[in-house]
Amino acid sequence: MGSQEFTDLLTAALRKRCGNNARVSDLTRLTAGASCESWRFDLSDENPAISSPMILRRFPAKSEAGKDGYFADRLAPGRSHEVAILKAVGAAGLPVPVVQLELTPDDGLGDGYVMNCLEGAAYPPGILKDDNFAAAREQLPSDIATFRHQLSSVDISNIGFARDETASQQINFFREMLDWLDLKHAGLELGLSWLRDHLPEPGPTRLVHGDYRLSNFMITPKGLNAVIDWELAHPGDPVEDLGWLCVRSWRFSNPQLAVAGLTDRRSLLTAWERAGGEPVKLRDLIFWEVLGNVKWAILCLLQGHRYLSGTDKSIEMAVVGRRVEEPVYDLIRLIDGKDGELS
Amino acid sequence: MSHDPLPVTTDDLLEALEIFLREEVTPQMQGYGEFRTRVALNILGMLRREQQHGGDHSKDISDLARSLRDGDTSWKDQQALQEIKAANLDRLRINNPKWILED
Repeated sequence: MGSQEFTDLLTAALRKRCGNNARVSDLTRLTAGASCESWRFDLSDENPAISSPMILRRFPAKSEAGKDGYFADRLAPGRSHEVAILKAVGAAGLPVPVVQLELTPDDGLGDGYVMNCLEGAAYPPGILKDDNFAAAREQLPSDIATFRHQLSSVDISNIGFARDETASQQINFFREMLDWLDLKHAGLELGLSWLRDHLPEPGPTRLVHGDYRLSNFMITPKGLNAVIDWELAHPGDPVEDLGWLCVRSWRFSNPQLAVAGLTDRRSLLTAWERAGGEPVKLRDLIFWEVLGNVKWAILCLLQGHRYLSGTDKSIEMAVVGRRVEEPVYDLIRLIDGKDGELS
Repeated sequence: MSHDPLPVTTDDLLEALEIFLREEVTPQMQGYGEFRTRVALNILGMLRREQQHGGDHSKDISDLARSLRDGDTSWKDQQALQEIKAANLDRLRINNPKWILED
């Protein structure tokens, strides 16, 4: 589809819902999102000078039949779940984008939805370095812990999740996936058998964001403004989000600061308790960090597989297939006690 | 003649491609295009290192993977850990040497 045709179809879809004066301008593809496309555009009405920034999310066609589709669905349950989650989190008063419209087949744009684009930057290198974010960096550990804690009170009973994704269910799923890819990876098997021996006590199941890290936080100079990209959300253990936040791949220029390049793990756990969270043992946080590294490695493998199978012949899919060894290196260090504040 | 008159090696060609992408293509790109150009440059870095190392020489430890899965080897096994570390480092030296930290 050409870019003019794309803009025209999107304009037509918006006019059906928002009236005949709706105009789309500056439609540009964003870099974020590996399995689903994000586009930003400005939407204006009668007066073209007053426009609102919007985001269009488009999901790949369900051509991935059979096992490919099963694994993709299990990781990211798709548009209807994502929209239901955004609505449930928004209804609980938490800052997330508001869904403006859901695409239908007669829109000719595939599967997707449009939401408003909230204020803030989701650009970790800048957040971690720029002077105008210095106050935000101080504030963020508390904001991140508070948001995560509030997420635990969101009612997800009507979303219709197919299953919980507890720690042991995820371990089984990762093994299933490695078998399906016919991969015998000793580093990942080491991680999985360590995880089996270090399972935390199961607690109550809550909504887990599933990709809780700086790249998915809209941050203003005051701190956290909103949380985006709910693609991997599922019911599970809330500490999963805190552990994922510590995975080194999301620390950018500050690998020595475990929590998103912002602070250390103990400070995160202190902020979590201050926000009202039940005390979390450091070793359980590290359990989820190891699991996060395994999960990131599995996502790399899945994306590399999408390239090799011909589903998505894009340059980033090919190269991510070669990033598997980064999280494996990090999980070995954690298991080996080289990076974990446990001493 | 068994080779070209000038010894322009595979590495020289990859280097030329890298310079072209970095100095001529990157400045013209923005947003998603700039991101993908950076990905392309990363790929060239991998190819150059793989070329310089003469290919991927990491040891095949798939038997160890099977043994860990079956529970015949424990994650506590120090020899297994050392073998896994070595294979992991061999691959990282090609794919992304900057990832390796000094202990």
